[in-house]
Amino acid sequence: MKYNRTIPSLALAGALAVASVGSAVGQDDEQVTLQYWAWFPPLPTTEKMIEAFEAANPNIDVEINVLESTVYQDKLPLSLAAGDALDLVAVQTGAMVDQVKVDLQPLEPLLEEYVGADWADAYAAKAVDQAKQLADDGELYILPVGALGSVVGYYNAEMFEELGLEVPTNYEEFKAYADAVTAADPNLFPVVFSGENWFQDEILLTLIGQTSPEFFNDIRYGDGRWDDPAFIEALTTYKQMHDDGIFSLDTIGIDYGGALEIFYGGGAPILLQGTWEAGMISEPFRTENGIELAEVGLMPLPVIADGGTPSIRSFIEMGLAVPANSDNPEEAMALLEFLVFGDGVDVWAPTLSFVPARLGYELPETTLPTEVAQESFATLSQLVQNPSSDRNNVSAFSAVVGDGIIEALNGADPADVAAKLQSEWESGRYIQ
Amino acid sequence: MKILVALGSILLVMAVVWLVPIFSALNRSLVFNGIENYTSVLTEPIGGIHIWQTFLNSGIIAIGHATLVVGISSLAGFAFAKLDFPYRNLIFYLAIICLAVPGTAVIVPLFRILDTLELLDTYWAVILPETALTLPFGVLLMRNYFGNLPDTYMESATIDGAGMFTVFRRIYLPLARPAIIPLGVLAMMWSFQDFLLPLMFITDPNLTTAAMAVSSFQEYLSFTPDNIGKYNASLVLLALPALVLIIFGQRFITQGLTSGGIKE
Amino acid sequence: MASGVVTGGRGRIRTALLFLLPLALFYAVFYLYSFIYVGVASFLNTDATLRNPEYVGLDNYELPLTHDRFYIAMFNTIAFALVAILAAVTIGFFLAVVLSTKMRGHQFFYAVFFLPALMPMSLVASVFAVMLASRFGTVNEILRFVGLDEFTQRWLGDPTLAWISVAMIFVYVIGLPIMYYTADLSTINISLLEAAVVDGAGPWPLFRLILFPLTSAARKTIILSILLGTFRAFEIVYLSTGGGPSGRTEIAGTYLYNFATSGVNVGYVAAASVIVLLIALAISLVNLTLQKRADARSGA
Repeated sequence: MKYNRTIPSLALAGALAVASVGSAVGQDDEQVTLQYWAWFPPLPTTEKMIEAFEAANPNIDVEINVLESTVYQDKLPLSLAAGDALDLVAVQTGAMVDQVKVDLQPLEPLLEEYVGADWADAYAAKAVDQAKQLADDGELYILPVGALGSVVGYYNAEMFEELGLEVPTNYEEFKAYADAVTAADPNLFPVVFSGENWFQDEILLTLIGQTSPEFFNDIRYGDGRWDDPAFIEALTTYKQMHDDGIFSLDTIGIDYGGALEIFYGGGAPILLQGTWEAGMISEPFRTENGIELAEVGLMPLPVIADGGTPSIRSFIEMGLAVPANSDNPEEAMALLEFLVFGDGVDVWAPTLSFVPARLGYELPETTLPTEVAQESFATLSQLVQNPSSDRNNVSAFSAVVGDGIIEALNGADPADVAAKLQSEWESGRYIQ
Repeated sequence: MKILVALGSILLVMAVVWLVPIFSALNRSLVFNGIENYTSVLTEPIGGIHIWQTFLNSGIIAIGHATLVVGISSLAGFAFAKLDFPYRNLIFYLAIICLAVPGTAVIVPLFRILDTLELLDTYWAVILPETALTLPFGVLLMRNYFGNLPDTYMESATIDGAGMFTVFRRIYLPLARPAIIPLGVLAMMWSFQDFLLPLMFITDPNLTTAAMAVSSFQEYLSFTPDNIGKYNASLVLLALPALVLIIFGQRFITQGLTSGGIKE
Repeated sequence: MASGVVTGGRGRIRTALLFLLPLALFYAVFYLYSFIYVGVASFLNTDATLRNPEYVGLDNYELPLTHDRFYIAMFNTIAFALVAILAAVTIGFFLAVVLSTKMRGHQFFYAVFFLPALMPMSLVASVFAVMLASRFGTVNEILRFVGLDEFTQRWLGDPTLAWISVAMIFVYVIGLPIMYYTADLSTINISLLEAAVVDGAGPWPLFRLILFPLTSAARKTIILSILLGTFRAFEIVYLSTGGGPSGRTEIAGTYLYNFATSGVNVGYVAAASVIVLLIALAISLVNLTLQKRADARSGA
């Protein structure tokens, strides 16, 4: 959904430019208009970020174009290839980097020139490594604003108190928790989540990561296999969790928004989702967005097998890049600096969608007023910054894995499912 | 008499069943914030443009689309039905087969075509490809309908010395009203609901269409209660033109058995 | 403008060409290039911008043809189409005839049956998804309310029921076929029917011997448009079951979207699209042959 914020017209800008040529005032007098494209954060947050930037930089106007993610995947490469003069674009941290890097400027020279030679001191090294790794020439084309991951649990602290529940940390506690919830009200979901295929994949990989942290990285970057015993075992346990009443087969028909609706409406004490939804642990966020829950906490998934540790998969997200066709690299970098290192962080960080890559950033006090919120945020940061594997999905294949999981839930044998997935992975349909 | 009562009750039961989803939709549109969903969708600008402006854009595109589709389909349908030329049936079927072409399959080449023609970011960027995608259906409908009309008028008219175009315009076109009107209506409705083509081909926010605005409420990873409510409400609003059309235009769409019919 | 009867081969052809010119123009600009693009891309390994293409021969074709999900999608597309056609020529036909008698309340009934067909499919499909949700969905809630708890099902989670649910959505939108039938019925002279009734014809012979044959134009339109249009369908499945569970309700449109539009290898989409189009062509040829035989038999 595009949003146009250019003040009046190019004519006015042009007039100003012409007028300023003759004057002897400083070189930043000309009005510059930047084209900024992204798919995230949602428009209202993006608008706020840009408003703050424009206020601090009166000579720069920014035209925002925020599109839905899958449309963005098609439109950005096409527009860049068609030669559109975009100035700053957000790039999805996956296959898109290689796809569009030919249209982007290498960032390190720009960072050194416009942000400062010591820019890397204020930035998470791991993020730089992951970003470079996405380009097959190892260069830095994108600078991610932060990282996010999945799967975590969000719990309705008020409901927990009412029903006398405690945050479960292992299988037995999880089962006891589910029994208590069902006893209190059979209509409640002990745990609600979107049963869509890609999310099933996320859940299972998170569970596997508790005992075999390298599992996904091995498959993604090496020659790991889906029919590995770790996968089969986790899938069997996952099925068991449904049989034991912890999870419900009713979640299979629920979509992303549906699960959130149920949680917000008090239909389940625990919701499973990614860390990008973490805004809900912050009271100001809840109030602003109409979430009428008194308190929401964040918890890792309980450890389902002995000897495991709570973990998630995480990865950098939303890399900012400067297209080669930009006529305004200086201003584009000013926007980039604002969003990644500067005051822009104060706008998007409190939404808690990303854990900032900028080092040493502290959230404003009002964001996390309660102890539960602060503890939850500490858990969040710890999980995101210490992932088991990279959350670097091959999206079409996540759906296939999820479909296999659903088949297992509907009665198929996990070993068969795993074997099928492995042969599908080898088919060449997903990665060339 | 008994048959009529039986029929009537069957009809009533079916109508109730058919109405359940509609009530469900209305119910969903009031989730979380109630009627506020509607008021905020209708009054708050979405990214700088008001919802009624998006409906206006959609309307312009829809009319353009429907006009082109009806015009071109009638001409072509008439030719396929009433004019005799070599390979007529073959060409017709080749034209119709394009009905099976999904939009997603050709979205990229369409983008490049429009880019080359420098039509991106205009109303035409949506009207023209939409027309192309609807034409196969329009031609099918018009050709079958014209084929149903008797040839007798043709013969008498040409004997009178009228050119074929006059025959078409004065005689067959008016007769085709029962097909043209539904076609036009359908074309407008489809255009209204289409969001894929506008999303890909339009970037200028002032040209945002209603369907695009609706899908903006469903932005990736942004499912706050406010958004969910507004999304559902805006979906219902998007259905409003259909409702208005049916209530006021029904007379034109449905012409029951009339004594003015021409089939003997 | 030259007057006089248009005779002779060349005159006819020229006239025909003029009538077909606008259509040909559109097709040439939009379809011709698109088909060439898709055809060429299907032999390449490249992204949407067609830069650095790599020729891979028939590899892209192998991918869908060796994919069991692809065959399921093709099968479903045709199967759903047949269900929709069946509903249209029975229920739809019945409704169209009854309503065209302009009985009392016919305007209300028309509105009820037309509305779903004209509403955005995204709305219809997502509403059905909500209604069929296992736990808080309308259908199950109603069943629980009247005490029929045992009949509640996982409408969207169970593979067979999900298929039936999607089929029901196809039936829900038979408003369109009703519209075509209504148009056709409007050309029938009512005195024809009156005469038949006077001769003592009951409702069934009326249907079979008069109404059915005389609406063959509408029927042909309906069959072809549904048959081919299902290849183009997308939201009806995507927004209800998403093609699930596990791809059991996948159709051509959702297969192309789910597997082939990550933007990275356009060749895969292209090859799959080519195959889909060829299948659609084959299907319509089959339909054409059957139609010709039926026409010949009934002497139409």
